[in-house]
Order: sequence, then C-alpha cells, then structure tokens
Amino acid sequence: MNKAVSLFKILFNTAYGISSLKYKAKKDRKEIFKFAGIIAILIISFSPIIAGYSFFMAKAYGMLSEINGQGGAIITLGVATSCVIILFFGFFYVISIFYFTNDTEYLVSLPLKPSYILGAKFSIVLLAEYLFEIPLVLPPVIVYGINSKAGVLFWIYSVMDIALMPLIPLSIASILSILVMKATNIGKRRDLFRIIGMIISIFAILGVEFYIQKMSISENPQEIMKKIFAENGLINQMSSIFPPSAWISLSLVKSGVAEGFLYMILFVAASIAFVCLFLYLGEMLYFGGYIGSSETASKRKKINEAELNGEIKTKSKVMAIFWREFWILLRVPAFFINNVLPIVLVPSIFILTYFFTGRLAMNNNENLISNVNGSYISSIVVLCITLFSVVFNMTPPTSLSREGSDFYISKYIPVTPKEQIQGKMVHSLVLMIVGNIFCTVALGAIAKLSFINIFTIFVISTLSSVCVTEIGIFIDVFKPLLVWDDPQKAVKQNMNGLVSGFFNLLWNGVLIFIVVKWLKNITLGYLLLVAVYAVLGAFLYPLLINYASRRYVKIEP
Amino acid sequence: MRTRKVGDERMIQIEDVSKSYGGSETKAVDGLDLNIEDGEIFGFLGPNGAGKTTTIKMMTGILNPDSGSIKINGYDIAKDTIKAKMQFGYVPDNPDMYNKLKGIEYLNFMADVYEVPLNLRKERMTSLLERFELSDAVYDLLQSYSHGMKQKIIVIGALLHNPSVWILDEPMTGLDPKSSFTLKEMMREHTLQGKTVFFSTHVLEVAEKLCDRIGIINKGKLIFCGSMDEIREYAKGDESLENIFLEMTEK
Repeated sequence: MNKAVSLFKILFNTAYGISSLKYKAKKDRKEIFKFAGIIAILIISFSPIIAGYSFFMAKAYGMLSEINGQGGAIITLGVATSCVIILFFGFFYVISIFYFTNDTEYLVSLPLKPSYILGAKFSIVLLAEYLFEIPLVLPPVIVYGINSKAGVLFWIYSVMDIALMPLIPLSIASILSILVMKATNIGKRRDLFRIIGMIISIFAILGVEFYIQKMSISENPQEIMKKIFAENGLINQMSSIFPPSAWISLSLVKSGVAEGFLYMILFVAASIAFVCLFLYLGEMLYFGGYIGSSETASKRKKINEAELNGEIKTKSKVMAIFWREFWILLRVPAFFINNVLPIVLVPSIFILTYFFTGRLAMNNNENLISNVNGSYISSIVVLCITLFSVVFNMTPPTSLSREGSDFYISKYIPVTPKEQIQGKMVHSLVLMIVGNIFCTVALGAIAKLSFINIFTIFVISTLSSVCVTEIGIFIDVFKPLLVWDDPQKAVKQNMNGLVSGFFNLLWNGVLIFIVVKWLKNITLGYLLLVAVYAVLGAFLYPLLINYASRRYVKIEP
Repeated sequence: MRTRKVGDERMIQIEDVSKSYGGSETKAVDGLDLNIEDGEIFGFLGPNGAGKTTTIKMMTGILNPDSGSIKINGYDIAKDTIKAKMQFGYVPDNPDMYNKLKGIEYLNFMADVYEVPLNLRKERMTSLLERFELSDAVYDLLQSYSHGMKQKIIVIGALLHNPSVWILDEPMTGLDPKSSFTLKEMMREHTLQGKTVFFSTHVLEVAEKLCDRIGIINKGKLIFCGSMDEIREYAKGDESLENIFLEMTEK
C-alpha cells in the first residue's frame, strides 16, 4: 500500500508541476505573483458564469418549491449534469492517462501491481474532475441548504457526496477504457482500432443514456404530469440521465430523516463497489491492454526510385506547416480525441437526441418554424450550438503548445512567424469549417431550416471561426505550454484552451444576445453578425501577425 | 543585412556573444569570439555544460544572445533571420522529433521550408537515402526508427538544400560505424566545395582526425582555438589531445 501512496505522490507532483512551481518560486519571487495573478484572473473570469448559474438555481428553487415542494430537484440537475460530463469526458481523459502518458512505460517495468498504477492514475484524474464538478454542484447545494434551512447533517452529507460523486462515473469510464484497450490491442493497426473503439464506446454511452431516458419518459402527457407531481417526482425524472444522482439528491433532501441516511449508505456502498470492480478488472486486464500498445508497425518496404519520386512534392512554406500540423493532430491520439473527435460528436449528440427522444421535443419546433419569428429562433438556436462547438475547439489555443519540445525546430527553420501562424490558422480553420458543415447541415435538417438559411448560418459560423482562431492563437502565442511529457497536457490540461473557450463564449454570447434582443428581423440579424465578424476578423489578423512576429523571437524553448 | 564581401573569408562570425539563463548571474556563454572560415571543418569541444549546445542554439536562432552578434555567411541571425537560416543545415543533439511523421513527410517538410526545387529534391533525397541506407524505411513513422536511423534522417533533412554551413551538435552519437564513416566522408566532401562544417563532439579522436581547427570551451569561455599543431605547441609537448583537453578543462 505504501507503494501506491508513494506512486500517487510522484504522479501528483509531476501532473500538477508542484516541484517545478516550488523551484520557480524559490528562484524568483515574481513567479509566485504570476501564478497568483493567473488564478485571480481565472476566478474573476469564471465568477460571472458561476454567479449567473447560482442565480438561475435560486430562481429555479423558488419555482420548483411551489410544485409539491420539489426544490431539491435543483441538486439533481447539478449532480446529474456533472456526472454525465464526468462520464463522457472522463472516458477520454482516463484512456490518455492510463495508456498514452510517457511515464506508463517506466511504471510498467517497476515491481508494481497493475491496480496500484491504475489507482494512482485514477486519483490524479479524480482531482482534476473536482474542478468541473464543484462549480456545477456546489451552487445548487448551497442554494438548497440555505433556502430550506437545512441542518448540520445536510452539510456533512453534502461534503461526502461532493467528495465521492465522481467515483461512479469515473469508474464506469475507466472500466470501459480498460475493456476497449484490451480488445483493441491487436494487429498492426492498433492506433486505428483504438480510435474506432473509442468512437464506438462513446456512441454506446450516448445510446445507453438515451435509452434509459426514453424508457423513463412516457409519451403520454398526463402520465408525465402525474409522475412529476408525485413526491420527489422531479428528482426521479431528472436523475434518469444518471440514476445514482437520485441517491445523492435524496440523501441530501431527506438528510433530516433516517431515509436520507439510507440513501447515503446506498450511494457510498455503490461508489466503493464501482471502484473495486474497476480495480479488479484493471488488475486482470490492464497490462494485457498496455503491453505492446506502444509498438509501431513498420513496413520497411523496398521502394524503387519511381515510387519515391511520386511521393516527392513541393508545397509553399505555409502549406508545409499546415500539413505538418495536420498529420500530427491526426496521429497523436490525445490530440485527435480532444481536437478532432468533438467536431463529429457535437452534431452527433443532437442527431441521436432527435432519433431517441426527438419526437416530443421537436414537435414543438415544427410549430415554431411555421412563422417567421419561429424560424428566426430555430436559426439562432442552430447558430448558437454551432458557435458553441467553434469556441470550444481546442485547436487554435493549443497551436504552439502542441509543438512542445519540438518547438525549437520552428525556431531554426527559415519560415517567418507570419508564415507559421498562417499555416496554423489554415489548419484550425479547415477543422472548424468541417465541424461547421456537420453542425449546420445536421441541426438545420433537424430544425427543418431552408437551404439558404443553413448556408447563411454556415457562413456566419465560419466568419466567427476566423475571429475565434485568431483570438485562440493569440492567447497561445502569449503563453504557450511547451514543457510537457504527455500530449494530453498540451490540450486537455492547457489553461489556454479554457481561457480562450470562455473568453470567446463570452463575447460571442453577448453579440448573439444583442442581435436577438434588438433585432427582430432575421435578415438584419444575419447582416449585423456577418459585418461584425468580418470586420473583427480583418482587424485582428494584422494584430496577431505583428504580435506573433515579436513574440516568436522571444520564446526560448 | 549582408556584410560579407569578396575576400572576407569568415563563413561563421561570432562576436562577443554572451548568454545567461533566466536572469542568472552565471553565464552559460561568456564573451565568445569565433571566426570560422570557408572550407573548414571546425570541432567545438568542451566538457558537459561548458556552453557548446547554448552556442549552437544561438547560432541557429533557437536562443537569443544577451549581447554580441552572430553572422552566418554574412547574414546576421538576429537581423536578417530568414536569409541567415537558409545558409545552414542543422542537426540537433537529440534526434527525437516529429515522431508521428513518416520519413518521407519529414523530408518533404524540410525541403519545402528550405525551398528546394522539385528536381533537385528528388535527386538529393534519392542519393542521400541510398547513401545512408534508409530508402526502405522512408514510408514508416519516425516513431518506428531506431536512434541511429532518426539521426540519419535528420542529417538528410538538414542537407537537402545543400547549405553553405553545416551545424551539427554531437552528430556521431548513435550512429553505427558505417554511417559514422559516411558522415565524416561527407563532411570532407562538403569542405572540399569550399563550404564549412561546425560540429560539437565529445569524441576527441574524431576531432583529432577530422578537424582543421578546434575550439575548446569551458565554463562558457573559449579557452583555446586553433589547429592540432597549434594546440600541441600550446601544450608544449607531444601529448594526446585527451590529455591536453583534460589539463585545459580541469583548470
């Protein structure tokens, strides 16, 4: 057991750069202020979102309390959302940490049980998941606790619930990842098999989610109302997307009585059972899924001069950078998962929602598009979802960071910073445009928008992509994360992605809000968006090139 | 701005270059002056942490000197950056790069950024791949290459544009005897065309046999620069380079 603890300490230290931070702080006091400054900026940036969310929860509590005293449903809302996010994104996170980090090769060679390695790595992921969970769950818990004048037990249970909450979704994600990796650790084309395996798994998770929901949602409106108005009916309905969230909610809502304690016990026991099952399967399957996974098949194929000449082609420097970025993004699993897969996933989630539960939700939409205002709203919804996938595309804000220790090559090759940025911009834009086509066509078809409407939304989202790309690259050029030992850190644990995502979400959100609030005419709305995005894109481009040209010289790898 | 004139024989000109890291008072390179002429193989020697790689990184534009200037074939690396970079081919000390690119993709990338015309790149790629016996591996990912193979493909990538100056950081590390021999042979051929090779090494034998001149750096300062004859004269005896090196760097 000591080995597991000491392994956790080492992994924690390297994953969060503790020693490096201490060293920097010791060497230069300014580093402490820099670090504190970044934390302060992050807190300030997120505060309005958290405040808005808390306000929404307080309002929802007021409304829901009037329905048979069901204010506790706000806790279910936060918990269920958080669990689904952890399950969904945790799957990719654990696969990367378990199988694709550089340290795994060394760890496997040490006299450590597979369950120790997995347990330590699982704990690292768990700590990161709290960052997503706490902002989602804490506000509704506090709102409920204060408004319902909850007792001491409520607060004790809530601390335990929050601490244990990610265990079940993360264990499911881990079990799934171990099974996928074991099943795909075959043949010469492992990387391809694994990516296919991951895609199938994620669709399987979505499929199961939707199936459970479909089973629990009756199509008969009277039945629905009956269920909702039953005692804690809303909690049961909402928790259908992730059933254990009902136990958490009920343990808190009923914390004053023995039933709450029983739900708490049930939840704790289920959490422990899931973790044990994960460690047990890990002990049996982890090495089998890992060993040999880093082998790369080589053809060592004898080729003649004519064949070689066919492969030798000339490209401009900008396109050379583009293709370098393109191949690397496609072939590094962590980059592919975080940058390419979401492009297909966002529209897929909506298509699946439509096919599984669509009949109910979308019937209302058909009524909406029968008049101009309705079509306007549908179009804005499609645009918003497309823009959401644009602003959270991690490709631009990790453009430099992804180069990591290879960045020094970009410093010695005779390619100007301008050309390098252009190559990276083209690369990000190609990905985003593919995503925009997927999103607008899939969502436009579901919302039954006209072709011209879909095309206009595509143009607007693409113009927005230009601005988002420029801002994202700007942020990454300002402070690229070049020192990492695991590609996952360059994309998933890179603050630049988060900062860029939320900043771009904020200004795009404000812009869309202004359009919806003041312009009731769809054509005027579109024209304003096109004009703003085009002007902003053109204005930012020279600023970015100018800044990058100065910054590239100063960045020393 | 290009300042190289006819009769000006310096292919690499390093003037009073200093560099320290992260505001530290200890200088990794301290007031380095070095001139390397056309047609010369120059060996840069020094113990670990002496400042060899820092010097090379400054020559190639990876690091910025705190003071001083560096010119490659007359172009200032800080002011006329792109033209200066076009003058050299650089082989870093660690060949672990772009693991997810195939050999052919890496070579095409290097040929593109150094603007090598199609017919020339075909000719050079074919002959260099043949010479380093890498033709069979060119469709494989660099990830599948051994250390030596990676070193060789990087050497090929650096030579595709037939640069005036070769800058090689520990180029022999990881190479098998045959490839090492080929590289040394190529260095000689290169200088016979009036071009320059600048390389750092720990292998004193290689430096002794191959170099026209050597420079020895210790604690950031150049403590000797001259031919083998000059170094022996300096040491006043018929000592081996190893002994002279040890004596100089242990002071």
